[in-house]
Amino acid sequence: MNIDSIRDDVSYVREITRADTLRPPSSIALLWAALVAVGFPLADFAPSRVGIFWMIAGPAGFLASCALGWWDARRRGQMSRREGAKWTMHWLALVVAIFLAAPLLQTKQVTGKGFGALVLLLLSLTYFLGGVHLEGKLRWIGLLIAGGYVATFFLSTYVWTIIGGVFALSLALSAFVGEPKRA
Amino acid sequence: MPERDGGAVIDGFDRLLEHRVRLAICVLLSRHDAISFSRFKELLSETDGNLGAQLRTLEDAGYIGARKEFRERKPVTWYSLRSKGRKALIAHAEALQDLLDAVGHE
Repeated sequence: MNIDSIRDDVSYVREITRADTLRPPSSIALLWAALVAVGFPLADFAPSRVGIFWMIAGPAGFLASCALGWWDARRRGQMSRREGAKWTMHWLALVVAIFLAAPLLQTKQVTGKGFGALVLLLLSLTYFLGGVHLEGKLRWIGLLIAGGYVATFFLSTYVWTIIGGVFALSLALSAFVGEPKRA
Repeated sequence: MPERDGGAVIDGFDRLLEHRVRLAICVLLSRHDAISFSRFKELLSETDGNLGAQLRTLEDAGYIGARKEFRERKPVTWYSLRSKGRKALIAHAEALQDLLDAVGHE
């Protein structure tokens, strides 16, 4: 054993560990694309149902995403609590932040539109930071949502339908970018 | 340094982890709770025979544990790192680091 073969071995191991990160399954992005495609337009067409929809769909989607991620990791043969906890904590922080912001709406400190814009801002930040720390493609979705947030100041009709449509489309497209192969 | 198999045995190195595939297996298992045989095959691009032999060597040494289960009626073998393997990997990595540091400072 000489120093060159040791260096080769270290490089070999480094290359392998670079490839060992599992991307989340596309089913999670498609699930949220469907929820967003239904939930956002409700603000334009049935505003009274938006709250109850997201009260149920938000946590249920979060739990379903955890289950889909766990099931996919098993299917692909790589279980990692640390990796799972990293993703779960990231999105759980968003769910908690939205729930903590909800009293602003209930106490009428912000309007319905203002609360929607605040949620968009939180979403944008969470997706962008997810892109920085977890998976690069989330950054672009974060920037797109930030654009949607800015649009809320300029659009007056069907604003949530337009933003929701673009958001859902970007999520659906992201599901097929860099899709993992079955092991 | 004493010679072995045409090369030098280096202080602190673990004999089992001098093999790059076995080292990679232990490093991967230190980063994840459990990895299946097929996932190892995908990551390491080794043949079934060679991979199986390296995994068995580590298993026999008590470095890793194996657990079988059935998925869609097909057997799946999951491997995980045992505390003996983790300790050996840490000691081996420290020895590697010391050696590479020493060479870097020459």
